Amino acid sequence: MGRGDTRRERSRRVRVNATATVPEDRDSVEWVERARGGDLAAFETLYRAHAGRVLAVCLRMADDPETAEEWAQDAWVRAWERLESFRGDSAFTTWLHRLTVNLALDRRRSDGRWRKRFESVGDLEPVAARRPVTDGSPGDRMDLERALRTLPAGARTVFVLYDVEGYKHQEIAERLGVAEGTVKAQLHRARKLLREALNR
Amino acid sequence: MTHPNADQLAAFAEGILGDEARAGVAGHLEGCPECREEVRWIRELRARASELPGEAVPAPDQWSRIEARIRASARPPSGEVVSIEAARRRRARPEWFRPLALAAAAVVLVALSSAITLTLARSGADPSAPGVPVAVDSPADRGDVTFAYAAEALEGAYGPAIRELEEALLRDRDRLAPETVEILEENLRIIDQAIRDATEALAADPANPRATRTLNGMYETKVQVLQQAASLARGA
Repeated sequence: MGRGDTRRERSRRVRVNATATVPEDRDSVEWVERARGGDLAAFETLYRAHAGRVLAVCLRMADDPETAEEWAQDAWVRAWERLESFRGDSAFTTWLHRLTVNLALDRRRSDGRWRKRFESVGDLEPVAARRPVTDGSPGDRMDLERALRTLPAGARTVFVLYDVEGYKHQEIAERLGVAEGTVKAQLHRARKLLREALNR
Repeated sequence: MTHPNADQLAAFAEGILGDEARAGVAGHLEGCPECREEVRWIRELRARASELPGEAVPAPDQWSRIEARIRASARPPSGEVVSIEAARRRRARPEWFRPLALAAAAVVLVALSSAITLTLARSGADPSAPGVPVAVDSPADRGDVTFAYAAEALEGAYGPAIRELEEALLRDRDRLAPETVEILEENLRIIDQAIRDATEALAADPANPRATRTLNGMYETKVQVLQQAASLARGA
């Protein structure tokens, strides 16, 4: 039952950047400990291993690539500041992933207060597609990335968290501060809009 | 024919529907091409979503920007590798700061709780109204708030101050202890929800004096919470 590996679980199998030394998860423990002790070089190693993943999450949750890059930077700075609170009871990648998602949601909430006081979860204007997330990769994956960018922010957030990142309805509801029913409604809406976008 | 609702179809497509309900939906699908197509689409979409690239390519200079911020931050890197304990001692804030920050945050939370008594009241005859209005008895309750104040007018009155405080807090929030930030964010989440509720109530009944007072009170409370947090951060 279910989808097998969630994306969070699959994130452990990180693609290797040919020019960097990338630790397996078990070796990450040592790098994390050294980084907690203030070793910035060790932290940079963690960065090289996981920066692509952090940025991918931000790109799907932000309205544009520039904002996504800002959020990704903020996530890394926050990770450095909060390393002390990482207890090692989950994989570092899981902790980092949650921190990134929480930061993205914080930023969206803060920005949202500036623009629209009384919006419900997801009636912001759809944003036109900007430059693509990846280079190449034609076909289905590119279409879906582009289609995602056309969704209103709230529907996109819920879809990304549920169908892409593997969070449960209740977790999403808690993080967004809305009812579980609202999450399901936004998910339904997102799937419907994506069908229209992809079948054009 | 009675179709399963959207939630049930989605749960079925995702494989998380309970046994009994699943059998019912499966039986329905045998005779319903429309629902079968819906299930097929959800499964296809989720399959495509799971194949989205898990990584993107950061700009080459992203690390140097992060490094610069870390070096300028409240926890700059050590010059050499140090033992964990030594780093913790160096990183620890002065003894007096943490208890003070937590106490201040606790004061904010207590002030919020004692100042606000939440009572839910039914809005009127219409049970299909989108939300229930929240009636609040608050120190911010003033007899001279006119009923003619629309939600937009209140937003116009409080909005600029709130945005300025939020901006300051975003800049300085890393100077607050994480526990304080969590309490603060929870408070703001509660207040924002109350603002939304009161706004819905006003939308449904613009002449509702209690909703107007509520909204006014919530804005004032929000300003107070942000002011306290901002002064905490400045003092950090």
